[in-house]
Amino acid sequence: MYCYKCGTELNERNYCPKCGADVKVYRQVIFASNHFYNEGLERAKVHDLSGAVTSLRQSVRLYKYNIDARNLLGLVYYYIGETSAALSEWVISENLQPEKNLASAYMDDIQRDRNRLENLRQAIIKYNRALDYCHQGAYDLAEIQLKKVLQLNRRFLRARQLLSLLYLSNSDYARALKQLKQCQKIDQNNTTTLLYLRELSEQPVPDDAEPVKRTGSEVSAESVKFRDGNETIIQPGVGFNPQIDQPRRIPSVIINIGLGLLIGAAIVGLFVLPVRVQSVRSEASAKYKELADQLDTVNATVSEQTQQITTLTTSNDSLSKELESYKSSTGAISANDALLKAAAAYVKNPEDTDSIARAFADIDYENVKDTVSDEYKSLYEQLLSLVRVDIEDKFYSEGKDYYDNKDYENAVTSLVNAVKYSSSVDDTYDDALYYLADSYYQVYLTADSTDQSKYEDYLTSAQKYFNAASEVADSEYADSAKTKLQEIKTLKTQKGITTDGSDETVTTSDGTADTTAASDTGDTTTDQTANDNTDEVAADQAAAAAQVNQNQTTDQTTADQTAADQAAADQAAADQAAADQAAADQAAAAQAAAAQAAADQAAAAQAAAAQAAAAQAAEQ
Amino acid sequence: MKMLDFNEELKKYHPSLEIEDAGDAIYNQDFSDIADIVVKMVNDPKGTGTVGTRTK
Repeated sequence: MYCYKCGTELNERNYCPKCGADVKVYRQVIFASNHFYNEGLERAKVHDLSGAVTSLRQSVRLYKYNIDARNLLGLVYYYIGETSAALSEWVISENLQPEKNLASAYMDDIQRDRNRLENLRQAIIKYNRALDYCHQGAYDLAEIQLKKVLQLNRRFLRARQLLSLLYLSNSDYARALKQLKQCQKIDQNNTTTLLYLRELSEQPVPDDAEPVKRTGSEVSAESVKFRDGNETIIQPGVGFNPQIDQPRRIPSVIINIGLGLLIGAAIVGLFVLPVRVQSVRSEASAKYKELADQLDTVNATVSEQTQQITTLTTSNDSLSKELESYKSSTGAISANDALLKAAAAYVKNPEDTDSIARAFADIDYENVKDTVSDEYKSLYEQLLSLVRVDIEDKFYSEGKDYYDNKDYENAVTSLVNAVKYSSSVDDTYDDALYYLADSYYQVYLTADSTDQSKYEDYLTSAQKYFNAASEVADSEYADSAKTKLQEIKTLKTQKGITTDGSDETVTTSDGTADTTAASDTGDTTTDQTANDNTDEVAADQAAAAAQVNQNQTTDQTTADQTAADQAAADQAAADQAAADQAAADQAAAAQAAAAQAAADQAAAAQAAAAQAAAAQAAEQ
Repeated sequence: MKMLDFNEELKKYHPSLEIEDAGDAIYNQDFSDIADIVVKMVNDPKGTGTVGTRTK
């Protein structure tokens, strides 16, 4: 408290300690202002805002510098929705005391929230509009506006009271009561509110118009009904209050959700799934059918190709065998090579009997004569005619040497060739037969007793050649051959050997000599071919005998005869040379032809083999 | 309404001061309080008009 004149702070005395001004009444006024401020504060605390306004207004009226009272007054105005009045008080307060003033904080708080300030402003505008509607008689519009006001500022007391008044005038007591109760919450001892409530209490309110207070303690099994304006709402009492019955609703909600899921699952399972399954099955069966067709096609192709493979394999095997036969020592290729070799040896040196004989020994003419070409046969026969005698002499002399040296196996090898290239007209024909047979026989006899069974074929061959030798006319070996035959027969009987070589034929260069009719056992097997060959052998022997006689006569002649023979020999040699030359030319031509034929055959065989190999590779 | 007259009650409701108009209201408001009157009475008991100024 300060002196009104000098501003000095006053003490408990009734005058200013500085200027001495009478401050008694002044102090009493200030005290009264404070008293009303306190009273207003107490009322504000108990929400008697109307009373607080009265007291606080009184306080500031007494002493305008009572900043606390003014600030509190503004606060109360703000609380009851009188925003402009509140701002006015705070502005005045801030002007009276600029520093350390709560009014500044209040205004900053309001102005900071623009949205709230705008709502407050709109609430005032709508309230004024509603009031105009009321004056105009448009109570419905006023009611709508007031509801909007209360949405913007629910503590706008005047608006709520006006709305209550409208409800009362419209006999809408329930709503009026509802609004008045809200007014009481804002301002407890507001006279207008109390007046309206008294008016309302005096009105005859129907029982069903009274709203039922729904609290947790009032839930019952009976239905709850209340009046909302002109409507009566009836709700079940049990389980209505969401605040109480929420826990009870949760299991039922869950159960309902579960039932819904089950029903949905059942619908899907009954209607959707079968269709889907059927479509999937049809697709699967179509796919299966397609795959089955493809499989059948593949299987057919595989079987066809397997068969083709088998065919090609068989063809390849046969071609390989044929190729091998061509390549073998007895094959056409080998025979071609041997003949060419012999022809080349003869062309190179007609006197080289050894080379020519060796080359001819490699030719198995009997086995290939059916497969070789005519040119081959012609060349072979011509070449043989030129060298046969020399070859035969060579093989015979060689075989005889082996025989004399008791090398019977080599003797067999050489004498076989001697017999092969011999002719019945040769001087050494019967010699070769006999010595060959005896070589076979000696090989068997000289073999160990444990190995003799392996040489049974030799015994048979000996028998064959002894038989042939015994048949040669005027042969010095005939008797000996027959004796040997008897020994062999006895030996075979002892050994239990049943094969009889006497029936086999002997092959020579001029044909086959079959001796089946001259066995000591008295076999008289006749064969037309054998008889023909026997006659031919006899004719050959007669010719050979005549030749021998002729040669003997020639030996007994004089020197002139010898000279004549020499001239004849020279002529023969010249003829021989010419013939050799012709043969060489023919051999060369034949060699070329044979080479070409061999090459063609080899190429054909290789092509066949290559084709077979390609077919196998393709299949793999 | 038997005891309440709507129109009469309605007359008690006045338009609320809008925020934009608060400044004018403040400006036009009379800020004289009882203290001012007391000071005036003390300073010029005879009412001659020489009141003087007053501090807070």
